[in-house]
Amino acid sequence: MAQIELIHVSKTYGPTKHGRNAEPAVCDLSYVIEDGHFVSLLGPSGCGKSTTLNMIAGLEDISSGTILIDSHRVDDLDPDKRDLAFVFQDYALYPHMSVYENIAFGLRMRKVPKSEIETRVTDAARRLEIEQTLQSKPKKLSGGQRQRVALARAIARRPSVFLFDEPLSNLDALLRDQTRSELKLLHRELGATSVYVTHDQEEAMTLSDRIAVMSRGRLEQFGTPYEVYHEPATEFVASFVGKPRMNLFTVTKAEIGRYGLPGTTFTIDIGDIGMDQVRVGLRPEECDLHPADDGAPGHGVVKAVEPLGNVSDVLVTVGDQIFMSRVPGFGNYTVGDHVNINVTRARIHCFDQKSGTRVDH
Amino acid sequence: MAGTLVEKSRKRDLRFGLMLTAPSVIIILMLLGYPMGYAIFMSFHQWNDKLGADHQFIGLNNYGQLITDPAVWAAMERTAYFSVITVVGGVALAVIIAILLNRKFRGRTLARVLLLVPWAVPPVVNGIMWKLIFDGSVGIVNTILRSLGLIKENIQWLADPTAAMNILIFAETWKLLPFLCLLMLAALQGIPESIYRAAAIDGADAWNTFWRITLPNIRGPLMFALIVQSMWSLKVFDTIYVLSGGSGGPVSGTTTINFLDYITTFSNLDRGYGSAMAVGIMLLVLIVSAFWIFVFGGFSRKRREANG
Amino acid sequence: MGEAQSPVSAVSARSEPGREAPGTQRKHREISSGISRNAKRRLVAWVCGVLVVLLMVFFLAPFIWMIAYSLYPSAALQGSTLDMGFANITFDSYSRLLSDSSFLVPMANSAIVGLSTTIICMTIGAASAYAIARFKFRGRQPLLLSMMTVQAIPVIVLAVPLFILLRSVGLYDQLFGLIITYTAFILPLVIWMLVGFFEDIPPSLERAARIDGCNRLQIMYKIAFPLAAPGMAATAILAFITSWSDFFLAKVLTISTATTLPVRTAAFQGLFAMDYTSAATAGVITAVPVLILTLIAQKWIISGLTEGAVKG
Repeated sequence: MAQIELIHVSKTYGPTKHGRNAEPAVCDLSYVIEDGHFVSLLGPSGCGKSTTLNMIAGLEDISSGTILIDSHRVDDLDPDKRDLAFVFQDYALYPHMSVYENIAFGLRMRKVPKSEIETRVTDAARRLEIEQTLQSKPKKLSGGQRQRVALARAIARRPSVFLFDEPLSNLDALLRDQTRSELKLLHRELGATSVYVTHDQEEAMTLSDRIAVMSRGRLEQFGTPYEVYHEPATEFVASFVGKPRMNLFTVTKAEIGRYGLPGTTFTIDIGDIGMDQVRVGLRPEECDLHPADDGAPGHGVVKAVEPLGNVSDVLVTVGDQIFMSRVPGFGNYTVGDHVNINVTRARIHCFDQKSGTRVDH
Repeated sequence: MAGTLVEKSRKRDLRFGLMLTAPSVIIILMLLGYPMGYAIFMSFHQWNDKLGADHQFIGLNNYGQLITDPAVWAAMERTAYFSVITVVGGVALAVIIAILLNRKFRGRTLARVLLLVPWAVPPVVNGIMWKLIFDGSVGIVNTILRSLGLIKENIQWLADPTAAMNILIFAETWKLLPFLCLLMLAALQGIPESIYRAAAIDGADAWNTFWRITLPNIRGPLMFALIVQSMWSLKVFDTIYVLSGGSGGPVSGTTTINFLDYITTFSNLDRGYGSAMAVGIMLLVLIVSAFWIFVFGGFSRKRREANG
Repeated sequence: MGEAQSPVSAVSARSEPGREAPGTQRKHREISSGISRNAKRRLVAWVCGVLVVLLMVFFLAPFIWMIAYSLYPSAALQGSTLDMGFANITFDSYSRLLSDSSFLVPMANSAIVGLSTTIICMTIGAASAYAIARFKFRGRQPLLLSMMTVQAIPVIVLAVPLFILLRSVGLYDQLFGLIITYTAFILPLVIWMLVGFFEDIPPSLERAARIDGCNRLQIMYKIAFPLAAPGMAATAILAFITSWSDFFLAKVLTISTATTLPVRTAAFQGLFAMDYTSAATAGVITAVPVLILTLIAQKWIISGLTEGAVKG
């Protein structure tokens, strides 16, 4: 139905007073969102993901670059001419209209025949199970119901593109998980191209066909959830995606192919990458702990144990680093234990110290 | 190319904005801006309709006369007396009443609504009301005092310049206080309750809580109230007119600078001098507003130490 | 201690959803001394209650006295004792004033001027305020600022030039002259208040409307105006009250045909003699419409009047 293409898209806010250029909010984005894909824009607040979404929607102008929808340039089109629907973070339901009118408003503005409007509104309401609320005002609804009305409003439009701006962030945890699953089913049913802004990596991972990880207005990586998780393109992606956070530290070459953490006995095999120092990332769940031999100092000392039930996170002081390992069950460690870290299971991610980009080995 | 896009949208916004604001701007310029300029123009002229239509340019003479006119100084003195009491006293009283009304009690909402009654009463009616109360022959005050045996003869309250001025202050305070109270009440309600709890845990007593928590947190609204009330007090007119029967009396006892300007302009028909006085009043308003802004350390700098 | 405190606050929170007052904040409480503290608190509450009642009496009594004055024949109130039995109540002065054309004409004038001013102010003002609140065009800030400073101009500065201006175009002592003058004076206030109400509308609603296909004008009258309706109603009422209550400009800019109610009411008292009952009656008639409107819109008037000050 629709393919969205961003070509060197940038956004700079504010007039450049005093001849000084402001830091761009979004810088040189280029990627293609394939037809029917569900793509998440993931990043911390202020990384430019909402700006990107607004630019795709036409709610904000782009400073340079081009956006194509189905190979048509849309940068100059008003939002309503781009055939897309938008689900807002605060839902943006019109408080002075009933739920029915809220859903129907966009159709009315487009001069859809009355009978057709009715069919579409009831259909959307049925899909989201809000038929009973159609005559109420949004004020009377619970947060979860409002969210559903916002979704129904988007669905009833039957657009070729859905845009979501953190639509789940105002729901409580339980409802959020439930709605997330429903969104996934909904996307499978409708098959429309969807762009989804979130700062929640779980949402991004579970929902998406592709994830665009952004930081400070730049694209860090565009890839499948698998790629983003297992082959992070930059150190930022490595640290941002994955919970608990990836262990990241600088190691120094000890011998060819072998690097060590200075001041400790901890070493890892990376292979010959021809660098003296490199940033290394290890996922906590891929690192095992073993008690050190009696009397031996081991790699480090257990600093804290955080049991979560099925697993426990063990924090180990290694030199001046804190290293985290996720162990099964409640683990068998107490604070002060000397332990060794075993990384044979782990995928070792290496990043250039300066640029932060991935170094293959 | 990219630049033109942004330009285009901004231009569209500008055009739409101008289209919507134009009628207001035109009306305001025509009926406020133009007369304003005209008033300044007149203030440089000998422009007395009693003396005929010969309007001579006399430069700053009207302003010079302003500074040496004993009537102006007397009026200024009365204005100062009136304004200091109604502004400082009024706002202080309003803060106290607002704290009282900010407590939880049954009928709190009703009390707030009733505060709007004095605010809504037209100034002319306000004057009549107080006249019915303080009138020398039929006023309720005399009736009460007589029945209590405190006085034998009726007192002619409004015939005494000092008493008349104090009654004027009383009447104006009655009308202005509710608005100030509502303002302060809204300000108090804007203070998060958690910081009061924190202060209580920190061991602050009621006195310290007021000076160190309440006051610093209503700084902005307090300044606003003082400025607004200063403007009102400097241009009080209607109540004086009704209380004094349009004379500013007795013996000019209630002739504030604004009322003196009215008499000069519309009784003596000395439009030029009156305009100079009006411009002076406007400057006075600006100076007083600037004074309050200065006292409160400007708009932007928030939260200063409360006292000393 | 924490345990002892929480049920109390839970109850009070339920009974009064509003914010707790500074005076009533509970300090650390010793269970042993709970009773004496309770008694002390009750005493404070009682004293405050009495003060509030006295205050309300102070704020209402003068007006009630004026109403009483308009209802009794002057003889009943001017003797050494007040004779205020219900039997003495008479509406004579009301029927006299309301059948006197010299009173009815100013009354009609005030109504016409007030309504026309309000309608014009709201039409022009709402559009301007919306533009100022929503569009970032150059000159927006200075415009808003000048709206505020206009309030600072003493009316007397403009009185003579306005008088001359209106006389030269034949609008002196004409209703239309008063209407446009009031419009100019009240517009800044209207715009100032409405900008606040429009800025309270979440921007995402207008974005949603753009996606739904509204153009700028449609967003304004389909989304913004209905949403700001209560605020607009309060502003309209305020505009009406202001023009209805004005005395000074009406006094200066009219002489007979276009005289308004406040001017006529003020005329009941001369320098020496005063028709007290008629003055009181006229006062009540002048004040009542304003009071009714105020009470209808009280919630919005309070927030409209105070919000700007508290926010900025």
